Amino acid sequence: MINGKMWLVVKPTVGIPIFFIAIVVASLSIHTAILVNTTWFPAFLQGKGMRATSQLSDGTTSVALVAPGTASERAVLATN
Amino acid sequence: MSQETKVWPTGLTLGEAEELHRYLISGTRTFAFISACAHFLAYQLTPWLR
Repeated sequence: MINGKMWLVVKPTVGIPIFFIAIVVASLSIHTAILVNTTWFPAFLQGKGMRATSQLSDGTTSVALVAPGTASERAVLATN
Repeated sequence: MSQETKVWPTGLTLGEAEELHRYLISGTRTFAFISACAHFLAYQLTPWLR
């Protein structure tokens, strides 16, 4: 298999953790950036799904600012 | 000593290095497949890229 000979010069105990850590860092940084810079991703993680946005008649999409939590969760918090 | 049985500085022979690499590629392909499924669902269920 192509590139398989790399393990003759790179110790697997060093190379494999570097490979996995690189994947984790890339993945977490991209997802964190999307979480921080969009409104729909945090809303999706709160269970809003497509309801976080609404399609306007001119074809553009407006993104609503969504309060954290579900309506029932907010009602419970408001009574306490 | 033939090239096939030679132990390299990492402690592996050519056959062992190729076998290790096959497992790594297989795991990467499995991860990529699951990740592609997850991104397809994210595309369907969120306003991502719209």
